[in-house]
Amino acid sequence: MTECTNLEMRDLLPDYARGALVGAAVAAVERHLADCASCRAELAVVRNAQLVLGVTPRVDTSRIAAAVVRSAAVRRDATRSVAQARRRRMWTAPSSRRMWLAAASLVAVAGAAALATRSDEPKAVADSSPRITVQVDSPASPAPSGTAPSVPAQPAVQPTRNNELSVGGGLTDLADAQLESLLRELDRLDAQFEVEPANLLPVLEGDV
Amino acid sequence: MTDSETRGGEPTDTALIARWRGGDERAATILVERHAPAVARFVASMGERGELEEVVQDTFVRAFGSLDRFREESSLRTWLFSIARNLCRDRARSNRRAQPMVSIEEDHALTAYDPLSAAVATETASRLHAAMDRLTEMQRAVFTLRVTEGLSYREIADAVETTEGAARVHYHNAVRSVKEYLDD
Repeated sequence: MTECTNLEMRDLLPDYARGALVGAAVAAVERHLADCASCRAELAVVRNAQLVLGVTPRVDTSRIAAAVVRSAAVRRDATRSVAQARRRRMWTAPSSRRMWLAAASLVAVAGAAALATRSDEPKAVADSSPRITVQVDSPASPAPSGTAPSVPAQPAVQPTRNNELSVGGGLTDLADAQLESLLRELDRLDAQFEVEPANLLPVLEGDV
Repeated sequence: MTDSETRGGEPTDTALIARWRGGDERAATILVERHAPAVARFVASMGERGELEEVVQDTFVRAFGSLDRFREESSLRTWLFSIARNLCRDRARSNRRAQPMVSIEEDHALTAYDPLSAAVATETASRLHAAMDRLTEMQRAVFTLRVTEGLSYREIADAVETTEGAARVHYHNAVRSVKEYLDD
C-alpha cells in the first residue's frame, strides 16, 4: 500500500480519532478517508494506540501533593537559613573587615583633622609658635675685624605650623603606591579567609 | 475571581499557580489532581513501569520547586511533560549503567496498572507495545504526546525541546515505523 502524501490530512487523524475536530474539518477528513486506504490503516493504528497508551495508571495524587507541600516547606526553611547565614557573614566576612578597616581609618583621619583645627586657634598658635632668632648683619655695624664674616642666619627650625599632628597611617597621608600596596595586602587577607556559607550548603542551590 | 482566572468554572492553572505562590497549599493539590493522570500516562508510555509513581511525584516536586522559572510561555502541562521526559531519560541512562536491560513481558506491561479489558488486551495491543519499544526515545515521546495527549506540534516541540517542524517529522516517522511493524 502506498503511503498517503497528504500530510495535512494525516496530521488531523489523531484529533479526528479523539473526537476533537468539529464541523468542516470532520467532513473533510471523512471525505478523504473514503478514498484513502493508507489513511484508513493509519487511523486504525492511531485508534489502537489511543486505546492502549491512553490507559491511565493509578497514582496517589494526595500523596504526591503532600510531597510537593513538604518539599516546598523544606526549601523555604533552607532559603531562610541561607539568608541568615549571609546576614551573619556580612559582619564577619573579609570584605566586611576591609570595610570596617576603611571606616576606622576615616574616623582616625577625621579625629586628627578635628584636633588640628582646634590647635589652629590664634591663642594656641601664639603661645606655641617657635621663637626664631635671626641675627642679621647690618651694613651700619660692620663686623669686628678678625671675626669671620657672618653668614645669613638660617632658622634652626623650619617654621611649620606647630602642633600639627602627623596622622601617619591615615589614608590621606599615603602615596598612591602605598595605597595600592595596602589594598593588595587586604585582598591577600580576603583570599586567605574567604569562606562562603553558601558553599557549605550546596544542597540549597541548584537543586532542580 | 475574574473570568481570566477560571475556565468552565474551574480555576485556571495560572490562577492556581498564583494562589500557590501566595501560600495556598490547596492550590498544589488541585494542580496535581488535574495533571497527574496525563503525566502518569506519558511516563508509562515512555517505558517507566517499575517506579512510575515515584517519577510522577519527582516531576511535580521539581516543577513546584522551580515555579519561579516557569514563564508560562508554554502550558503548565507541557512543562510537566518536559520535566517528566528528562527524568525518564536520566533514569534510563542510570539503569543502563547499573544493570542490563530487562525485557518486560508485554502482558505485564498491559496489566500492571489499570488492567485493560480482556477484549483490548489482545495480540494487537501486545504488538503495539512491541512496536513502540522499537521507536527512538524522541519518536516515542512525540507519538505519545500527539496521539494520546492531543498536543499540537508547537506544544510537543516545547515539551521535547525541538522545533515544530522536527516534531512533525518525528511523528510521521514514528507512525510509519509502527505501521510497518504491525503489518509484518
